[in-house]
Amino acid sequence: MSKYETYTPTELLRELSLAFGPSGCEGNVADIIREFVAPYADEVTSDRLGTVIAVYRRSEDCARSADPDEEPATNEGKPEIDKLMFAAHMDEVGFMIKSIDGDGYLKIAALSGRDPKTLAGRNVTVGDETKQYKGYFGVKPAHLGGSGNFDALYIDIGAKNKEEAEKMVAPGDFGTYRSDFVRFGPDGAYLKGKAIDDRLGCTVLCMLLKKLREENVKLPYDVYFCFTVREEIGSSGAQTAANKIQPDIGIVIEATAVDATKGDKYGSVAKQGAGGCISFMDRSTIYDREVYDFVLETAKKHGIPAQPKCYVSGGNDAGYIHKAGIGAKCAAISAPTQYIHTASNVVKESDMIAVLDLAYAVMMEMK
Amino acid sequence: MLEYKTLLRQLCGIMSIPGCERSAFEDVKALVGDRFDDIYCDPARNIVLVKKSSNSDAPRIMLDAHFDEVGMIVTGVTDEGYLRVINVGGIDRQLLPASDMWVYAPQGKLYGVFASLAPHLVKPGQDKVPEWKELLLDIGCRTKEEAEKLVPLGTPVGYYNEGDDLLNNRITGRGFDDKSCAAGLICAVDAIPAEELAFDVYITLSSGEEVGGGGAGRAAFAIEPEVAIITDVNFALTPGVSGDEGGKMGEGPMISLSAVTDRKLTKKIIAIADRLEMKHKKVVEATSTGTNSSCVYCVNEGIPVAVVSIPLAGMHSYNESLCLDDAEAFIKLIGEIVKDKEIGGMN
Repeated sequence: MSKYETYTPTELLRELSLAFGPSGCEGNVADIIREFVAPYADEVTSDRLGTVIAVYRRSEDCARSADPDEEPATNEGKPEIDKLMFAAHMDEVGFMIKSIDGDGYLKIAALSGRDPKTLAGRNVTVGDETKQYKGYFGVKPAHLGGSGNFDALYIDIGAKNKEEAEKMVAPGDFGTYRSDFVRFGPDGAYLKGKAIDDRLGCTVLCMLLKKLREENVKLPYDVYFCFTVREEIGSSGAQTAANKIQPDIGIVIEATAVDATKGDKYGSVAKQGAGGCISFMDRSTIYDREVYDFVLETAKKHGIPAQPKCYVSGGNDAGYIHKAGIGAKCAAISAPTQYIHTASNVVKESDMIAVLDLAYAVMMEMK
Repeated sequence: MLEYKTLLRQLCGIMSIPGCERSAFEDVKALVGDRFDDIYCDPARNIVLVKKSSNSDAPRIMLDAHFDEVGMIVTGVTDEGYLRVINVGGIDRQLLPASDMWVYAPQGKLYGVFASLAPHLVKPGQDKVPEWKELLLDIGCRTKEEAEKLVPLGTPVGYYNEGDDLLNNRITGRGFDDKSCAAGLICAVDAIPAEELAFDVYITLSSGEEVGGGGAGRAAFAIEPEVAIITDVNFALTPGVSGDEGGKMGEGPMISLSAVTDRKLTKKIIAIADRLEMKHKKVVEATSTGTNSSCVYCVNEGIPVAVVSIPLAGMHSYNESLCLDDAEAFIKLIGEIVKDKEIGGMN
């Protein structure tokens, strides 16, 4: 029996949030996910880059025309579908060790966009999938004219000198933030942690699969739950997984950047607490209008909170999924998340649940 | 026998942002009060621990470590429920976005995080260093009323970081400036039996150092010590710090050579370190040591002071770090000082 069997979505998110998994080093996250999905999937595979693919197969006695609940047997208003792909990325924003200086301090390269101001002083973990060390981002003291300049940052793991540091880590090793998972705010409505972008998506995928199995849902199509690698450095994991699967429809589950400090005033992307954000366009994809409308309609029909993402920014795995094979129709459902790409992502728990409920309802509506 | 690291973590768990030092008194008393002859909090919010020598003619020595720590206080609440703060003590505000904080609210401490715009949403020109009034602390409230109910103006705010153990006895945390020395002084004096004390020892855990208030001066006025040792953290040798300014972590305490400290006393301390074959670093701080020495040395008719430090990385930032070997050497050195009859006879 898997220890994850009784986990709530938030408990799983916590476990995944704390796991070490910068882009290119997602193995520890993959291990948790493989253990979670094993009892529920018909098949669990990986592609050559490390993306974990858990499959929920269609029921052969569930061809659309034979569905007794559906009279007359028509697919009107429903997208044509044979293979549905869900994607959530396992990797988190991270660093790579570039060099070790004479005193044993580590110099780093960034593995994706971040604001250097959010790094200085923060706790980090460095290493690889098999061994990790604690450290922090050092900074010149403010008294001596400190600086949040990225090039001035270094990681201190407590090594006495270069020789000692070299026994622990090597150039090419990885680093990520180390950050507690905290429930906070009135009624504990908010969750804070690192890598909620996109372990939230991984959590949702795991829970979708679990629910399908537990409720013994019969689907007329196959569902591929893809836990992708390397999204933060260009979505190569989604690319290869989509090439392998060649889905008809791809749905990306993400944590998307919002800013609540200005309330509802102009420039806010979406509102926390108002459910999943449905994207019509971002920097990597113009989403399929039919699927976009279908998702929003489904939310309305089921009374699940959802909102359009009112700002064109960022990009996600859909950027490659929609171009795989002969092309796939894509949608993105994202939990509005503050302070992404820092050690402290903040999401409202109810938004994660709304994303989960909406994705499940979408699968049911596609039957 | 007190264990240094445990005591340090306990002291760092006591919030003592300038202005709040008095609230720390009962906690400190509960931790170590019974190990001293007397413990009190004076009108200037200094916490004083007294251990008397068994020799009734013993002179008085003041061992000072400031107990206040850098922090912030709440100055306002936005319509969207975010808190505005201002620093109490020197804090590099450019490093605060996305930092985890504790808000020490009346009903108990609350988690908060400074808002930070995701790189995806940053427009050109928006990535400048934020002003204090632009730094917004998120406590999960989304209306002004909600936030005001939980957090009154003036509520203290401090770093969340609980700290970790690194390699080589290196530890990280918040508030090591100057609780690393406070814990060191308490451990050092606690370990010396009254019969061996050459002094009546007054440990002053002083107030207001980070805001230039210098509670230590008021304490010195009341105690009238024959000599005073000011203990504080100093810059560890880390990238960006020159060899003249900093001491290497793990290579012993630092001893200041300055025009405002007493050279005879300082030389005596260096001689003790040499006798113990203790590695140490002499650091020249010509006209100011940046410590309480400046508010103690000219109290009353003047008090000979010396400054002994523990090298600290990341001073005032989210993560401060020190080497426990240095703290142990510091404890040994202080222990020898309070046993030294020559120092008492120096005046």
